[in-house]
Amino acid sequence: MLARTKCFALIGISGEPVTVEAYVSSASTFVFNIVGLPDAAVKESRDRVVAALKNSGFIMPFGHTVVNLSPADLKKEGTAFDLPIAVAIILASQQMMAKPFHDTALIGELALDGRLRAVNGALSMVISAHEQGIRKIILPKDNAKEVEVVTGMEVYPAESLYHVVQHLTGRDPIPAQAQKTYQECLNEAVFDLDLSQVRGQHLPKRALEIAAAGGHNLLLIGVPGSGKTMMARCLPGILPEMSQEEAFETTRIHSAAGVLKPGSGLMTVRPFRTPHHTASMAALIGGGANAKPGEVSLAHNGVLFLDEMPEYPRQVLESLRQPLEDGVITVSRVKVHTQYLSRLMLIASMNPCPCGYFGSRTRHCRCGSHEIKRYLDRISGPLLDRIDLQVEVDVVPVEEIVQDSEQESSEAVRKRVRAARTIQAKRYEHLSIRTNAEMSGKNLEDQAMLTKEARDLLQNAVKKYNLSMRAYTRLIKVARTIADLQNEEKVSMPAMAEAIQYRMMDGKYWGEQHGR
Amino acid sequence: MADKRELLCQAWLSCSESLGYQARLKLMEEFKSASAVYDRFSSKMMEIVGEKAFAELADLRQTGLDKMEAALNKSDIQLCVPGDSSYPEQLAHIPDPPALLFYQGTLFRDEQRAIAIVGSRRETRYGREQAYQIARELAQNGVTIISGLARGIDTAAHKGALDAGGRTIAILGSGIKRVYPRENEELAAQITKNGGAVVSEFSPASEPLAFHFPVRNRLVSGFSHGVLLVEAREKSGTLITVGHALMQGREVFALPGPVDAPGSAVPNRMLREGARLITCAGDILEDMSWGQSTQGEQTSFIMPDLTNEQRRLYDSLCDEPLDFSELMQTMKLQAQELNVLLTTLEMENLIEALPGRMFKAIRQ
Repeated sequence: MLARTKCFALIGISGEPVTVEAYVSSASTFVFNIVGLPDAAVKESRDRVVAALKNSGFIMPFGHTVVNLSPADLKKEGTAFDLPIAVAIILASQQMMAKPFHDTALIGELALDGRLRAVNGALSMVISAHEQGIRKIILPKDNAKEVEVVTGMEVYPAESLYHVVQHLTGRDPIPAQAQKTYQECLNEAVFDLDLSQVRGQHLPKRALEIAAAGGHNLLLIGVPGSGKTMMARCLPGILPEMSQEEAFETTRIHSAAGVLKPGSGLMTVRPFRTPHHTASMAALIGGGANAKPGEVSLAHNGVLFLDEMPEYPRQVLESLRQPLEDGVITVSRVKVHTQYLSRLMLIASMNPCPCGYFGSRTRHCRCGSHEIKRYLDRISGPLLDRIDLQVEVDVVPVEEIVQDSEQESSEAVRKRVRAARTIQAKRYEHLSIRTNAEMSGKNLEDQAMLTKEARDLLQNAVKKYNLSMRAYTRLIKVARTIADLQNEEKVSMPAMAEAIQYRMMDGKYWGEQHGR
Repeated sequence: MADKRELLCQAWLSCSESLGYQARLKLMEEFKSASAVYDRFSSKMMEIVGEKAFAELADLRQTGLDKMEAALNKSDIQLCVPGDSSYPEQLAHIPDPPALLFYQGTLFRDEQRAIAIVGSRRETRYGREQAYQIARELAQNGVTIISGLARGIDTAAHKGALDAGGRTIAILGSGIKRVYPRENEELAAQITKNGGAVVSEFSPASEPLAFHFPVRNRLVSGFSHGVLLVEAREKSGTLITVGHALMQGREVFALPGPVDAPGSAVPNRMLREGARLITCAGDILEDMSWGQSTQGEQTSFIMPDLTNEQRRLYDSLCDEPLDFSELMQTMKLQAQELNVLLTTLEMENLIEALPGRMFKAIRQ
């Protein structure tokens, strides 16, 4: 007999509808085949299904069983097909009588004892199911929280194959999961670090605030142990909350990549990704045979933190240029071409020199100027181009840690950041950009609206520090953000003056002349 | 004065890496001239020069003097031996003067005023700035700056002299066509172009071998009337230069530095042991009785109008450099307010930002 169930295959981060057909016929030998371009994980599902069926009180039909995954020319991977295959076989071998359920999709991996395990990409599949007009979905309990915000879907979290069958036959229906609003999820957001825990560091904190407000990439330079990583970790907490759309985008990528913890809900805190400097190019920008999303996509709508940036291989750093510029990354492999979103903020940290103590007051630096230059040269100009703010982080003396008791919380800073972002959104309403960091082109100065005094100061600074064109545009962008934080319509002279302090690498370290 | 052929034969001897200083002296003693060695070259010499050097010389002899001359001309490399009009007089009087010098640029027999500035390759900002400044001012007063074209202090000294439009001589531990470090090739070219010279006693294609440098160092002091030690750590190669300077009877100067700075350990010790303490170029001019320092482009400074806060910030930096958080405390300002003040003062050239978020007042 023939039976069909519906499920979804994960292609990149989107779900593609797949129909599982099972055909059971009597024969003198036991044959069980799965066809329709299954990959290794899907092929192995045969053994899991056989065991799960038996351990759930069903029998694997003796005879000829063929399972076809249609469309048959779509590559299928992952373990989400276990459940639809098992249910299709139960139906085809007439071990269960149920009303037709063409409006229900099934996804889930089976354990040998018949229990259901979480799958990758559940959110993508549910969204895709909704687009396909399917309104009911049965999925593993551990995936349920992830999709609780999706509207217009009846989600049935199931614990085991047995429960699924009980539900489908109507003998013991699983109650549909209660829907949550996005706002409710937002209220549950927990940040792992608050800005109020950082003592001293007034300058880097201010730089963080500006970076968050204008979406600028940021470079932290400082001696080892000065708290660069801690500062960076505070950033998700001061960035404005993700919109529901952004939360969906990010969760889908994380879910598809399998980095979402089982049982966790929609991501409401912006991601903070810290790939190690030994990470391969594929790990960073995405790749592998199946063109999986890389760290830049996992950091979508969030923060990518590169600790000790000069330690990363040069070509890996160079590969960041496209995602930083376009907000998307195209991963092309022989079999798959996929585009992943990668709108992120880059925070990089580095020591000022190879030994780490250049400019330190407590330790002597052991490096020659040529060594320092070579170290700094590992970061190419074009990449540095995309980092608007550069700031030095110094070790906070103990007495300052003790004295400095009153610290602003992330919440307070986030409020100002949100206000500045609102101003920008309004200004760029008719443009394709959202933040000051994305400003570009000839009209930069007009868009930024500099006062005459600010313009004069900028011209003087360009002359005095011998600034490049790229440094010039960076200063305008940063000054614009500072003005937005102050709610100034035009960029005033003080805003520009402050921006000029965040250009370390153009003068002191980068272009340093001998003897000057 | 030696004729062309004799010079080329000397160059031929210099091209053998294994021919030692003593063996070369012995050869000259026996044959009186390098051309005689070249002409009567035979296996008998093996006893004097040793097997390895003999094989090298035989090899080089195959090439022929003409080819060697053509190669030298092509790279504008000149030769001089003691007694030539371009062989510095003071160098001829050191205990072991080089038999031949390869050079590009201009050399004089009587270099009137020459000071060597030597120091660490791993210099600090302080050392670099002082070396540059002192070299610059000395060059303005007609002093030739001698150094080794190494990274760090050497580079700063050469640059200081060049920026003053002065004359400077770089003495290499490698061949002239094999400038080491590579990044200083441009600097070497500028030195010859601006009336200075790049000098080496090693054959033009010679590698920068480790043993060359101590040998080279005797020329650095030999070329000069005095040696200024700017920065050096214990066991530094510059100590060898100072040793040579003492042996050659040259004046030794040292630039003092903080007592806890590793880079100033050697100069400070030298000062205790009797070196002349130098704080500026004028000190050297005075010690050498070369007259008063004449300042170059000194412009009178007019303090611009400052607001009260700007004045307070400038004043607090006058005694010593302070870092950002210290300034925040003394000024009682927010980070952003302080940033604004700092920029305005920087633009007026009143203060300067240093690595490590430090700021210092510029002495007017």
